[in-house]
Amino acid sequence: MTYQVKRIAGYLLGLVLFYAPFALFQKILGFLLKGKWQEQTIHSLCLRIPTEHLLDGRIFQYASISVVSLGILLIAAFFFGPVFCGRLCPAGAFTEYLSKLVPERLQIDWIKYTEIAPIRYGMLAGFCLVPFFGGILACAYCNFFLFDLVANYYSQGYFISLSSSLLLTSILWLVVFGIFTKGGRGYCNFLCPVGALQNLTHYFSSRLGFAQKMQVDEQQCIGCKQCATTCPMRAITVQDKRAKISLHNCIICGQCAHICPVQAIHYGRKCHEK
Amino acid sequence: MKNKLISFLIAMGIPVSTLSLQGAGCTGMCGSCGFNCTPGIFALLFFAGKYCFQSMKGRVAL
Repeated sequence: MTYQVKRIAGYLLGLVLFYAPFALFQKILGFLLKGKWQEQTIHSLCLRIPTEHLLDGRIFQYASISVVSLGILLIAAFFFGPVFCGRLCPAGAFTEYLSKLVPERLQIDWIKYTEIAPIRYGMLAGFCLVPFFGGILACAYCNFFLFDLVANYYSQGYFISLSSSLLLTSILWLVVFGIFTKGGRGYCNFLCPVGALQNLTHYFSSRLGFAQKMQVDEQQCIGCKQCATTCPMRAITVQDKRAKISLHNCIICGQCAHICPVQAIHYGRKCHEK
Repeated sequence: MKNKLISFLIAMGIPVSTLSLQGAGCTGMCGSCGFNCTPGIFALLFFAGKYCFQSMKGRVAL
């Protein structure tokens, strides 16, 4: 099975696992936690609500499936990196593949205009601060939820009216940070707090030496920039003919390792960096 | 470092700007209120500003 087919199969698996009408992950987790096989929606799994309440201590007041799911996600990110984003999340993959339909000359390469990590973590910090002032932002600006609405429309024929924030989410997710952004994952990079939280976990676990991560063999790297060009998250920079992968927004999709002509990039724990 | 800190603080303002909605009478439906989609608009303005500023400074070959 080729790499691209495996990748698409992963996202289709994500669709079956997390989205209605299947939502198998939520159903299985619900059965394990409550002993009942129930119909589940995207909101049983909401990862943004527990993320929003991480700091204010109200996290455990919310649906147990969500809290356990976030726990599983962070444990996975701690040991294996943000594999959920890179291998399973259909919402991120949707814009990535959609962006391939637009000519590159019309797309913005945001890494040339701004640093990604401060904005990514700033957004996460603000997202966790909002509940302290009585605000709630979980559903508004949730591309995962919006994608669920689209999936529901095609599978079950219903669609709720677009609220003002969902309308803006559509513009930001699909247009500005979707088809008109190089790589098509601008929304993941800048406005997804769950992705940012996973990358923060990945960064700290990598510093402690626990994490499996994408690594560049400096001896083999020829600085051809193919990995940097193909990375949908724009996580790779090439300096002095050596590629460098940022742990702050690498989602372990493996595109770089797949395209590298000299197999200088691999996924693992052993560090080849100097 | 200074630029990173400024970017961090401004990005923090994207979700925090939602506080301007509190008590503003937003029903979530477009047109029912005035400027109640602040975080999204803030984000759009922020990135448009970044894009224009860097382009004008000539750091990016367009």
